[in-house]
Amino acid sequence: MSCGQWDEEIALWAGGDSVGEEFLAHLQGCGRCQRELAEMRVARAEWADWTPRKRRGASWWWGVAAAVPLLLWVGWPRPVEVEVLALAMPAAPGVPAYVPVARMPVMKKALRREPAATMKILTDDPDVVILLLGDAE
Amino acid sequence: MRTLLADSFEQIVAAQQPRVLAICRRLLGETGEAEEAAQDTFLKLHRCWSQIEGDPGPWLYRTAVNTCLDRRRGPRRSVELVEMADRRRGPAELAEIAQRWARVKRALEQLPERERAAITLRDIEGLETREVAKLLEITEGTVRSQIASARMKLRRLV
Repeated sequence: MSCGQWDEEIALWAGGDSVGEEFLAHLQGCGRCQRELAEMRVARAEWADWTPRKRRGASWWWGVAAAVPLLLWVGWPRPVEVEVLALAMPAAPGVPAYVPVARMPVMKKALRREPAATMKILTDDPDVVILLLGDAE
Repeated sequence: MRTLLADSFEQIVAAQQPRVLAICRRLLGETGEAEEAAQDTFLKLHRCWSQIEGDPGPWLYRTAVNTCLDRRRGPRRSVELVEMADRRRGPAELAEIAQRWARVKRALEQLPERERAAITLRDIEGLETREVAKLLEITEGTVRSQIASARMKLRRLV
Protein backbone atom coordinates (compact mmCIF):
# COMPACT_ATOMS: atom_id res chain seq x y z
CA MET A 1 0.00 0.00 0.00
CA SER A 2 1.42 3.40 -0.95
CA CYS A 3 1.66 6.21 1.54
CA GLY A 4 -1.08 8.25 -0.12
CA GLN A 5 -3.59 5.58 0.77
CA TRP A 6 -3.12 6.29 4.47
CA ASP A 7 -4.36 9.87 4.19
CA GLU A 8 -7.76 9.07 5.67
CA GLU A 9 -6.14 7.31 8.64
CA ILE A 10 -3.79 10.27 9.12
CA ALA A 11 -6.77 12.62 9.19
CA LEU A 12 -8.57 10.41 11.69
CA TRP A 13 -5.54 9.79 13.92
CA ALA A 14 -4.77 13.52 13.99
CA GLY A 15 -8.13 14.11 15.62
CA GLY A 16 -7.85 11.29 18.12
CA ASP A 17 -10.10 8.87 16.26
CA SER A 18 -9.24 5.21 16.31
CA VAL A 19 -7.28 3.68 13.43
CA GLY A 20 -6.10 0.21 12.54
CA GLU A 21 -2.97 -1.49 13.84
CA GLU A 22 -1.69 -1.80 10.29
CA PHE A 23 -1.57 1.97 9.90
CA LEU A 24 0.09 2.46 13.27
CA ALA A 25 2.77 -0.07 12.35
CA HIS A 26 3.34 1.72 9.04
CA LEU A 27 3.44 5.10 10.75
CA GLN A 28 6.32 4.08 13.00
CA GLY A 29 8.59 3.50 10.07
CA CYS A 30 7.38 6.14 7.62
CA GLY A 31 8.81 9.62 7.78
CA ARG A 32 6.43 10.96 5.17
CA CYS A 33 3.36 9.84 7.11
CA GLN A 34 4.80 11.19 10.36
CA ARG A 35 5.28 14.59 8.74
CA GLU A 36 1.79 14.48 7.26
CA LEU A 37 0.38 13.62 10.67
CA ALA A 38 2.26 16.48 12.34
CA GLU A 39 1.06 18.92 9.69
CA MET A 40 -2.50 17.68 9.96
CA ARG A 41 -2.41 18.13 13.73
CA VAL A 42 -1.17 21.69 13.36
CA ALA A 43 -3.83 22.44 10.75
CA ARG A 44 -6.60 20.85 12.78
CA ALA A 45 -5.70 22.97 15.80
CA GLU A 46 -6.77 25.99 13.76
CA TRP A 47 -10.40 24.92 13.68
CA ALA A 48 -10.63 22.44 16.54
CA ASP A 49 -8.54 23.80 19.37
CA TRP A 50 -10.23 26.91 20.68
CA THR A 51 -8.74 26.84 24.15
CA PRO A 52 -5.82 29.26 24.56
CA ARG A 53 -3.55 26.63 26.09
CA LYS A 54 -0.38 28.64 26.48
CA ARG A 55 -2.07 31.56 28.11
CA ARG A 56 -4.18 29.37 30.30
CA GLY A 57 -0.99 27.62 31.45
CA ALA A 58 0.63 30.95 32.15
CA SER A 59 -2.27 32.06 34.31
CA TRP A 60 -1.98 28.81 36.26
CA TRP A 61 1.68 29.58 37.01
CA TRP A 62 0.84 33.11 37.94
CA GLY A 63 -1.63 31.71 40.44
CA VAL A 64 1.04 29.52 41.99
CA ALA A 65 3.54 32.37 42.00
CA ALA A 66 1.04 34.58 43.79
CA ALA A 67 0.14 31.87 46.29
CA VAL A 68 3.72 31.08 47.39
CA PRO A 69 4.49 34.42 49.11
CA LEU A 70 1.07 34.33 50.73
CA LEU A 71 1.66 30.84 52.09
CA LEU A 72 5.11 31.83 53.31
CA TRP A 73 3.70 34.88 55.00
CA VAL A 74 0.99 32.85 56.72
CA GLY A 75 3.24 29.98 57.71
CA TRP A 76 6.39 31.93 58.63
CA PRO A 77 7.08 31.94 62.40
CA ARG A 78 6.65 35.44 63.71
CA PRO A 79 8.65 36.83 66.64
CA VAL A 80 6.65 36.85 69.79
CA GLU A 81 6.79 40.06 71.68
CA VAL A 82 8.43 39.27 74.99
CA GLU A 83 8.65 41.79 77.66
CA VAL A 84 10.93 40.99 80.56
CA LEU A 85 9.98 42.77 83.67
CA ALA A 86 12.15 43.40 86.62
CA LEU A 87 10.55 42.20 89.74
CA ALA A 88 9.47 44.65 92.27
CA MET A 89 12.39 44.29 94.52
CA PRO A 90 13.21 46.59 97.30
CA ALA A 91 15.84 48.91 96.12
CA ALA A 92 19.12 48.55 97.86
CA PRO A 93 20.44 51.63 99.50
CA GLY A 94 22.25 53.77 97.00
CA VAL A 95 21.02 51.77 94.09
CA PRO A 96 18.49 53.32 91.75
CA ALA A 97 15.05 51.78 91.88
CA TYR A 98 15.15 50.91 88.17
CA VAL A 99 17.64 48.21 87.38
CA PRO A 100 18.11 47.27 83.75
CA VAL A 101 17.17 43.64 83.28
CA ALA A 102 20.43 42.67 81.66
CA ARG A 103 22.39 43.91 84.61
CA MET A 104 20.08 42.73 87.28
CA PRO A 105 22.23 41.40 90.11
CA VAL A 106 21.84 37.79 91.10
CA MET A 107 20.14 37.57 94.42
CA LYS A 108 21.60 35.61 97.22
CA LYS A 109 19.90 32.29 97.76
CA ALA A 110 18.92 33.21 101.26
CA LEU A 111 17.03 36.20 100.07
CA ARG A 112 15.42 34.44 97.20
CA ARG A 113 11.84 34.05 98.16
CA GLU A 114 10.34 35.56 95.05
CA PRO A 115 10.97 34.51 91.46
CA ALA A 116 13.97 36.26 89.95
CA ALA A 117 12.30 37.23 86.70
CA THR A 118 8.98 37.23 84.97
CA MET A 119 8.38 36.97 81.26
CA LYS A 120 5.26 38.50 79.94
CA ILE A 121 4.30 37.09 76.56
CA LEU A 122 1.79 39.08 74.61
CA THR A 123 -0.43 37.06 72.32
CA ASP A 124 -2.57 38.09 69.37
CA ASP A 125 -5.53 38.14 71.68
CA PRO A 126 -5.25 41.30 73.80
CA ASP A 127 -7.16 39.56 76.58
CA VAL A 128 -4.66 36.72 76.86
CA VAL A 129 -1.25 37.39 78.40
CA ILE A 130 1.14 34.60 79.38
CA LEU A 131 3.28 35.24 82.41
CA LEU A 132 6.32 33.02 83.01
CA LEU A 133 7.85 33.03 86.44
CA GLY A 134 11.50 32.19 86.05
CA ASP A 135 14.14 31.04 88.43
CA ALA A 136 17.41 32.99 88.33
CA GLU A 137 19.32 29.78 87.87
CA MET B 1 -41.31 6.74 -1.21
CA ARG B 2 -41.64 7.66 2.42
CA THR B 3 -41.30 4.87 4.84
CA LEU B 4 -42.19 6.79 7.96
CA LEU B 5 -45.47 6.24 9.70
CA ALA B 6 -46.12 9.90 9.24
CA ASP B 7 -45.86 11.13 5.72
CA SER B 8 -47.46 14.52 5.80
CA PHE B 9 -45.43 17.61 6.53
CA GLU B 10 -47.35 18.35 9.74
CA GLN B 11 -46.79 14.84 11.02
CA ILE B 12 -43.08 15.02 10.25
CA VAL B 13 -42.83 18.31 12.13
CA ALA B 14 -44.70 16.89 15.12
CA ALA B 15 -42.52 13.76 15.15
CA GLN B 16 -39.14 15.46 14.61
CA GLN B 17 -39.55 18.71 16.49
CA PRO B 18 -38.20 17.48 19.86
CA ARG B 19 -35.05 16.03 18.31
CA VAL B 20 -34.37 19.02 16.06
CA LEU B 21 -34.90 21.36 18.98
CA ALA B 22 -32.54 19.26 21.11
CA ILE B 23 -29.80 19.57 18.45
CA CYS B 24 -30.31 23.33 18.23
CA ARG B 25 -30.18 23.67 21.99
CA ARG B 26 -27.03 21.56 22.06
CA LEU B 27 -25.35 23.97 19.65
CA LEU B 28 -26.88 27.29 20.67
CA GLY B 29 -27.72 26.75 24.31
CA GLU B 30 -31.03 27.09 26.07
CA THR B 31 -31.93 30.26 24.23
CA GLY B 32 -34.74 31.61 22.10
CA GLU B 33 -32.25 31.47 19.26
CA ALA B 34 -32.29 27.68 19.43
CA GLU B 35 -36.05 27.69 18.93
CA GLU B 36 -35.71 30.10 16.00
CA ALA B 37 -33.06 27.85 14.45
CA ALA B 38 -35.40 24.86 14.83
CA GLN B 39 -38.18 26.82 13.11
CA ASP B 40 -35.78 27.80 10.31
CA THR B 41 -34.89 24.15 9.88
CA PHE B 42 -38.53 23.19 9.36
CA LEU B 43 -39.00 26.13 6.99
CA LYS B 44 -36.14 24.77 4.91
CA LEU B 45 -37.76 21.35 5.03
CA HIS B 46 -40.98 22.88 3.74
CA ARG B 47 -39.15 24.54 0.85
CA CYS B 48 -37.33 21.33 -0.08
CA TRP B 49 -40.24 19.04 0.73
CA SER B 50 -40.75 17.82 -2.81
CA GLN B 51 -37.05 17.01 -3.27
CA ILE B 52 -36.58 14.91 -0.17
CA GLU B 53 -37.12 11.22 -0.57
CA GLY B 54 -37.26 8.61 2.14
CA ASP B 55 -36.74 9.36 5.79
CA PRO B 56 -36.24 13.13 6.18
CA GLY B 57 -34.68 12.65 9.65
CA PRO B 58 -30.96 12.70 8.76
CA TRP B 59 -31.55 15.58 6.33
CA LEU B 60 -33.33 17.51 9.09
CA TYR B 61 -30.55 16.91 11.62
CA ARG B 62 -27.82 17.98 9.22
CA THR B 63 -29.82 21.04 8.29
CA ALA B 64 -30.37 21.86 11.95
CA VAL B 65 -26.61 21.67 12.64
CA ASN B 66 -25.81 23.84 9.64
CA THR B 67 -28.55 26.34 10.48
CA CYS B 68 -27.11 26.69 13.96
CA LEU B 69 -23.63 27.09 12.51
CA ASP B 70 -24.88 29.95 10.33
CA ARG B 71 -26.42 31.67 13.32
CA ARG B 72 -23.41 31.45 15.55
CA ARG B 73 -21.08 34.39 15.78
CA GLY B 74 -18.39 32.35 17.45
CA PRO B 75 -17.52 28.92 18.74
CA ARG B 76 -19.83 28.99 21.74
CA ARG B 77 -17.97 26.40 23.77
CA SER B 78 -14.59 28.03 23.33
CA VAL B 79 -15.78 31.57 23.97
CA GLU B 80 -17.20 30.35 27.24
CA LEU B 81 -13.88 28.68 28.05
CA VAL B 82 -11.91 31.82 27.32
CA GLU B 83 -14.23 33.92 29.41
CA MET B 84 -14.00 31.49 32.25
CA ALA B 85 -10.22 31.20 31.96
CA ASP B 86 -9.59 34.87 32.35
CA ARG B 87 -12.16 37.60 32.11
CA ARG B 88 -9.46 40.26 32.34
CA ARG B 89 -8.18 39.54 28.84
CA GLY B 90 -11.56 40.48 27.50
CA PRO B 91 -11.90 42.27 24.19
CA ALA B 92 -8.51 41.51 22.60
CA GLU B 93 -8.75 37.77 23.18
CA LEU B 94 -12.36 37.61 22.08
CA ALA B 95 -11.65 39.70 18.98
CA GLU B 96 -8.85 37.28 18.04
CA ILE B 97 -11.23 34.36 18.46
CA ALA B 98 -13.89 36.12 16.42
CA GLN B 99 -11.44 36.66 13.55
CA ARG B 100 -10.33 33.05 13.66
CA TRP B 101 -13.91 31.88 13.82
CA ALA B 102 -14.77 33.94 10.72
CA ARG B 103 -11.89 32.29 8.86
CA VAL B 104 -12.93 28.79 9.96
CA LYS B 105 -16.57 29.46 9.17
CA ARG B 106 -15.72 30.55 5.61
CA ALA B 107 -13.82 27.30 5.15
CA LEU B 108 -16.64 25.23 6.64
CA GLU B 109 -19.11 26.81 4.23
CA GLN B 110 -17.17 25.31 1.36
CA LEU B 111 -17.67 21.76 2.61
CA PRO B 112 -20.58 19.56 1.56
CA GLU B 113 -23.36 19.88 4.13
CA ARG B 114 -22.95 16.30 5.38
CA GLU B 115 -19.27 16.81 6.10
CA ARG B 116 -19.89 20.24 7.56
CA ALA B 117 -22.40 18.87 10.04
CA ALA B 118 -20.17 15.98 11.06
CA ILE B 119 -16.99 18.02 11.46
CA THR B 120 -18.82 20.75 13.37
CA LEU B 121 -20.12 18.28 15.90
CA ARG B 122 -16.89 16.28 16.13
CA ASP B 123 -14.10 18.84 16.00
CA ILE B 124 -15.72 22.09 17.05
CA GLU B 125 -18.27 20.85 19.55
CA GLY B 126 -15.99 18.04 20.69
CA LEU B 127 -18.56 15.26 20.55
CA GLU B 128 -17.40 11.65 20.30
CA THR B 129 -17.84 9.92 16.95
CA ARG B 130 -20.56 7.68 18.32
CA GLU B 131 -22.42 10.72 19.66
CA VAL B 132 -22.24 12.40 16.26
CA ALA B 133 -23.52 9.23 14.64
CA LYS B 134 -26.39 9.06 17.08
CA LEU B 135 -27.27 12.72 16.67
CA LEU B 136 -27.24 12.62 12.87
CA GLU B 137 -28.71 9.12 12.70
CA ILE B 138 -25.93 7.74 10.54
CA THR B 139 -23.41 4.97 11.17
CA GLU B 140 -20.10 5.55 12.95
CA GLY B 141 -18.30 4.41 9.80
CA THR B 142 -20.03 7.12 7.81
CA VAL B 143 -19.13 9.73 10.41
CA ARG B 144 -15.48 8.63 10.31
CA SER B 145 -15.42 8.85 6.55
CA GLN B 146 -17.05 12.29 6.59
CA ILE B 147 -14.78 13.78 9.24
CA ALA B 148 -11.65 12.40 7.58
CA SER B 149 -12.68 13.91 4.27
CA ALA B 150 -13.65 17.19 5.97
CA ARG B 151 -10.32 17.42 7.80
CA MET B 152 -8.35 16.89 4.62
CA LYS B 153 -10.33 19.62 2.88
CA LEU B 154 -10.17 22.04 5.80
CA ARG B 155 -6.42 21.58 5.98
CA ARG B 156 -6.20 23.07 2.52
CA LEU B 157 -8.85 25.73 3.08
CA VAL B 158 -7.95 27.20 6.46
